[in-house]
Amino acid sequence: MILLWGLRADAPINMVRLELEKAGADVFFLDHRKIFQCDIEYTFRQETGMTCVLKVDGTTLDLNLIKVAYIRPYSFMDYPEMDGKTMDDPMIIKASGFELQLMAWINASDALVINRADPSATNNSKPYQLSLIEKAGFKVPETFISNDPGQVADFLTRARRAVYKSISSVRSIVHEVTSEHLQFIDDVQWCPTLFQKVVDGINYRVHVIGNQVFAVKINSDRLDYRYGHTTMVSVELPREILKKCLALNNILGLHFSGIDLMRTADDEWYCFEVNASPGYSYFEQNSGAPISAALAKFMMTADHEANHA
Amino acid sequence: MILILSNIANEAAAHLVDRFPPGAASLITASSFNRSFKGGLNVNDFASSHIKIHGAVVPISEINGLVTTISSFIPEEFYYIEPADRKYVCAEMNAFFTYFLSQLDCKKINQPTVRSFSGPNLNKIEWIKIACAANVPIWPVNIANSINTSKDVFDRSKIKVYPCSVIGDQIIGKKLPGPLKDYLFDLQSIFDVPFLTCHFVSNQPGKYFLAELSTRPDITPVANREAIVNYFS
Repeated sequence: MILLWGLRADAPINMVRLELEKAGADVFFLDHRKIFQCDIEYTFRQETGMTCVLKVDGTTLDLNLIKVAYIRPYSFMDYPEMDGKTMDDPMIIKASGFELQLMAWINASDALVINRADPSATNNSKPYQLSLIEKAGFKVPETFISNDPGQVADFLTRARRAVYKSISSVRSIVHEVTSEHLQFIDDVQWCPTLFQKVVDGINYRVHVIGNQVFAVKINSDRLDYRYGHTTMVSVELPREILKKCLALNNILGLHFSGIDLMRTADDEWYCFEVNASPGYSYFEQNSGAPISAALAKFMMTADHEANHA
Repeated sequence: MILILSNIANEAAAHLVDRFPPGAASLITASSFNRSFKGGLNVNDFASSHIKIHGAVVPISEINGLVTTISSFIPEEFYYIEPADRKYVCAEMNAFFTYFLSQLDCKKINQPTVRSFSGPNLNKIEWIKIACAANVPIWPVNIANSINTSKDVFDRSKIKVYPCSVIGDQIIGKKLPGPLKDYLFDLQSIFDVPFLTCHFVSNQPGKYFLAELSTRPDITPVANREAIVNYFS
């Protein structure tokens, strides 16, 4: 059985759900919006081992039946019924307890998980992830993280042109550092910030699913293409780059990833970061790359193999 | 220089610093980062990075030990940041230190992971699976929505609890009964941490079960602090 955990309104979950249903897959869709009605119970006995059941809407699911899981959790604190609630509210305690326990079970299970917590967490520290990206053979931009205004000023002088962004996975719009920003350089003492030497070139987004690769070439009028007028087209990657993408997915321990690359005029390929829970729908809708169908097929194959092992 | 990373409220961290020779160890907490800790980390050449602790430059190569008693910082520790910005600053600090600690080439208690500044920090459901596979007997457990709902299946008055810790190849404290020493070393090896604390329980002679496990060093007992200082000496 395949577990999908996320929001109905979330395009990446919804697109793969439709593909799975079309193909007649055995799917259990756990709607994150119903988190306040969910319960999970775990038991361990030396004689019988471990069991875990999930209850929602009068349905009880034995989680040992789950052979594949695709998870895109959401912050329930953003739901309207959380307005004005404090962290000691029983609803919050129960929902966070449910989430924590379901994630723990999924991490501990033998299922194929897209993606497990630890591989996904490399994205929570961009410099940490960059150190792994280098191991896959990609070039990474010159990167400096600091809360020391003096050292930041030195880096910016050396780099000539640099961007700044968050060190963590908290979403931030990438901006080039300008003379106006330099007036506020002392502010880094309150919060370390990531600075990166500008690499000029063409953006590519690569989605890796198992050993399948979907690449799109991106043209945009903005440095951060997510916020500009952007067009994209499916392309074939050079063989060497394709191999590096597969190696990177493997090194990070991911089954599905979104890799951000840039190709320079000198035909050098840089990797900026890897998203372990890619919002692939944006790229599929704009390029026509059949990512959701491939993802569904990947999950169904794994489910079939697990059931016949 | 031994770096000790802890939370503001952990008084034992300051006591641990005092157990090292003067100037040999430094305590880092989230308190007043802007004054006590400055770092400039070169991601493409980490060894050339510079940090300052309490105003003094500390070359990365001179950091020869790390003791971390926390999994991560929490927003409330950044009391000197505007409340609306604390969560973001905390996330950035955690991302900074995840990288910084992972790149240090020195003895670590315990080595950081993407999940924690100190060891794998597994949920009980996760470590039970691993310990069970290593043939370590596990005490019965029931958990519902992350709350322990275990009922006493045995007479409490007949249960003995054995807390025990290991650091490197040394068991801290008194001699352990039965197979506990072997269990402890096996688990230390499986979880790949120099410092491990376990609680075993026994309800009948010769029968021992693992009830709790932590890969985050507990520096509260004096014996643990002594053992840590010895580990680095």
